[in-house]
Amino acid sequence: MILFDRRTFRAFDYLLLFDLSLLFGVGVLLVASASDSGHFQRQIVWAITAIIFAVVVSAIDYRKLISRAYELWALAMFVLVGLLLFGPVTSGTRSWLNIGSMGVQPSELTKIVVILALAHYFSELDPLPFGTRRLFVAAVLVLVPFILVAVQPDLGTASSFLPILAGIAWVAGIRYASAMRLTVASVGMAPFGYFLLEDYQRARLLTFLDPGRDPLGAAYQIVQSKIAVGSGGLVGTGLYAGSQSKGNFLPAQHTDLVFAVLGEELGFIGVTLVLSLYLVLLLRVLQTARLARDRAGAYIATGVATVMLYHLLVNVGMVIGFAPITGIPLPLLSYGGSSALTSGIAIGLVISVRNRRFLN
Amino acid sequence: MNTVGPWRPESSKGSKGRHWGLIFRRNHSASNDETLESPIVLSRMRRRIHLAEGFVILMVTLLLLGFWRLQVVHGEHYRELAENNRHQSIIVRAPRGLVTDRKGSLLAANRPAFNVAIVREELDDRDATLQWLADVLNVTPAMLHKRLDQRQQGIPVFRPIVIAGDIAPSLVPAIEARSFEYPGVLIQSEHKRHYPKGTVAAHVMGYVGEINAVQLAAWEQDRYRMGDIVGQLGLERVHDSLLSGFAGVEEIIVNSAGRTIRVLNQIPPEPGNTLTLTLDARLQEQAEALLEGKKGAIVMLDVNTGGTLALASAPTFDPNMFARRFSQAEWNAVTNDPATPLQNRALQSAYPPGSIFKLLVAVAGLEAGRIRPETTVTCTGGGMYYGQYRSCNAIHGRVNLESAIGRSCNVYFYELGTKLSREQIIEVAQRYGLGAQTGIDLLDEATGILPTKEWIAQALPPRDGNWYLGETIGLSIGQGPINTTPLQLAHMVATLATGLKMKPYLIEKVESSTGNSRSRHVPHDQAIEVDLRPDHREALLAGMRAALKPVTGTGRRAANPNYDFGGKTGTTQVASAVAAGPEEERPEGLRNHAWFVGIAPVEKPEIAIVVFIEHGVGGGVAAAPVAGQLMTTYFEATEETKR
Repeated sequence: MILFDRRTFRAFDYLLLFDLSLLFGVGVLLVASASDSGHFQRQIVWAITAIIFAVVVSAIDYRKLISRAYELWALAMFVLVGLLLFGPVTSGTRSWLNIGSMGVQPSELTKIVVILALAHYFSELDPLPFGTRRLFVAAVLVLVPFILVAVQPDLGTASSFLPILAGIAWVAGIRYASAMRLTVASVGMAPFGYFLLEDYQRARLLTFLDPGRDPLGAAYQIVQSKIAVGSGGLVGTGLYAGSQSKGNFLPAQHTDLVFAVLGEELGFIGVTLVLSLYLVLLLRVLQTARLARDRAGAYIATGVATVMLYHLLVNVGMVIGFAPITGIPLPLLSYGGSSALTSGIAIGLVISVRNRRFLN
Repeated sequence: MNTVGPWRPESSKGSKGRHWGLIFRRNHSASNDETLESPIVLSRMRRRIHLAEGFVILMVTLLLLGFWRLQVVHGEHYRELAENNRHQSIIVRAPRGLVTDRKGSLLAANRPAFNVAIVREELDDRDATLQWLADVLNVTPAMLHKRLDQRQQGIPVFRPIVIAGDIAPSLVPAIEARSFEYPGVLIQSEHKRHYPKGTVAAHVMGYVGEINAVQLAAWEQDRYRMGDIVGQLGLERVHDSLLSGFAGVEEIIVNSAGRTIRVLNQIPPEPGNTLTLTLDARLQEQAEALLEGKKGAIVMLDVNTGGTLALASAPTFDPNMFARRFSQAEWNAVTNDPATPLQNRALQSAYPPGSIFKLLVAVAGLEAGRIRPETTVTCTGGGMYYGQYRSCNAIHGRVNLESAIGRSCNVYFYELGTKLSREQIIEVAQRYGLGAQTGIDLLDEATGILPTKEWIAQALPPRDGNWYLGETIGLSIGQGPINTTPLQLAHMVATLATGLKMKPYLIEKVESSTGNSRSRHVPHDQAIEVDLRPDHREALLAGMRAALKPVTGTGRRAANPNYDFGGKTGTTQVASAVAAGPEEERPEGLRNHAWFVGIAPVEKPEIAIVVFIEHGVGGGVAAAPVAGQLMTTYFEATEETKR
């Protein structure tokens, strides 16, 4: 099923791959600045592996994957259940699967599986505008992994499954009225969700609503992150010269708060450049959705764009105090192998969709 | 899958007409195995994707605006905060000043104390670590969990949190030896106030404790901080500014773990002054031992300086308790004890002086010319005064001033009372310091009560501002509305002995950490002349010597044949003998108070002493022997040093 013909090469989305590689490159620099050489070297390996994955996956016909989407989904759920039952506890969660000396987080790869499953489901439907009833099966496809990951517990990653459904359903043609009803309903449910949160999560949420509440406790990350970003000013302190990241005032600075390091060291100009790279990436993925030859392809691209946007908004919003602390990484920039590989595969899928817009 | 077939178009107006006809048309380049979407479906999808693209652009723009505000608009502010993050001023607490007795033996010092602290960020396994600590410290792990939970509120994860304070020093190596196995466990050391002699001079020393909000607001603003240990009672409190020293500051650059990267500036702390007290630890210890099991007070003054040689109050407490973390139960035991161990009976409580007051009535009589030392009165065991029969403690026959004081004859003073006015007596009492604080450097000194005009005016009914002549007779033997503290009486006797009123004091010398020292006691020229005529003074001293005469002297049990002691006993009624029955059979609370004031040597006085025993029954029996032993110790010690 892997095929490279001349047309594929000519149609290959070099821009997207280039943009992806640039962002990975910025990420490697930031991880090097925010952490030690061990992390830096591993991040280089992961970034390169992820780019290779993107190229390899782009050569796979996404329709083959779509046709196996439910099997892949079932396999992923099997792994997640196994992880809950037998997985090792790392940093208080059962989210890591050790393969040899490597640790991967199956929950990250599950995002791809959820995108494929939803794309498959919605592409099988009549292409008619639909209401909430059609969402039932789709909701199962999303809520099962949501629950399995939420109880690991990793609510941050689990929460990223929900917007995938919203994004794909939107493009697939959910009625405006239904979309509105669902939005209102989820806002209405939010207070009940509050009771399901752990104490520290509630503290984070309250801190988000009132940052002055507990500046040394739950608000510590928000306060420190804003100080680091704000002190960067227009041009930043210069790469590797951030006083806040060098003094370790930023917690989780090479993972969840890597964007704060960017803000401090490269300033508003650096932030603008990197956000532009993300904007190009997202718009390119959405353009792919528009140009896709079939609905399944469009849904895949939409799903990828949605999950990327969600991570971008929540992670970067958290850095400047726009969103509560959730502990989810920023794709392409944050340190982490599972996240990098997932992003590579996701972008590879999008390129695959784009490459085949003329092909049959 | 085919998209062919009738379907209901979207209700959106734009799509209706334009695309209706396209539904049934096949897609453009399709010539293969799979059907492509119909144009209407594609166009609807594309419209929605366009909206999504607009959403993405909007969101990224919003993020950029957020960064603009944070970095460009408020950049300066955050740069300042970032600087503050790295610069830290660490307060280095000053060691509290030492306190010694007059001979240099330590009454208050500092000892190292060890606390176990947890750095949450570095913990590997909280449960296992606390379990191990609980085993070492012999407490329950649940208690450590609870403490950590309570104390971590609002504290960043990299700051140490104390979960066990002041552990036994022997446990320190046991914990430090395994610090590699259990990261995040820290031993912190600090200084704790320590009173090596335990309860000795507890009421004088007082105790220390954490500064409270009221003190923080009222005291020198830039000197004290939250969490400072300050004096809360006694000298620790009164002379806190001498003892607490000045905290130093270390300005450092730190990383987030609080670890110092570089020291910028260092101002070392200035330790508190060393105080040398006028107290003599040996006399103090003996005085407290003699009061053991009783309620009462002992004060011994150096009559020539006003220096306080001993100042004891019983029951007492261990000030070391307050330096530890003590439990609520321990605190309640001390504060709710009906015997009020925290109360300094030597100066915070006033009692009727009884016959001790006769000394001042004699002074008033002599000065008013109503008596001369050789004036005699015949005691028949009592007499009628203003329609009331008043008794004496014995039938003394003919007594002069010397024997009247020596045998504590009431009739002599009743007779004198008929010749004196209340005002004359009060004037003398005030001149000798009664009814006012002595001014010793301890807090909450009682003033006592004197029946002054002001007191009579505001006294409770049925008095209605009246003073009855019969009351002057009672006042002549120290009864009626008159209360004095033991310290006031010691002060009064010291003044009688020298004719100079010297303020009692406790601090002999203040020595700074740099070695500068200064004397604190009141110089002689600040003493107040009480205009005691030498012959009057001789007569009173003769009476006090007579009180220690064998057989007849009421204070004979204080006498020591080797020394020239003088004194005066006092027994004050708590309940009338008629109502309460014989002394020894009464419940303790109704028994009489016992007083003894002493002076030695009578020839050339050096010390004055007062012994007060609450419900001690009789001054001659309960108080006099105690005073005698203490005066003996004083002179034996003086002779030892001379040899």
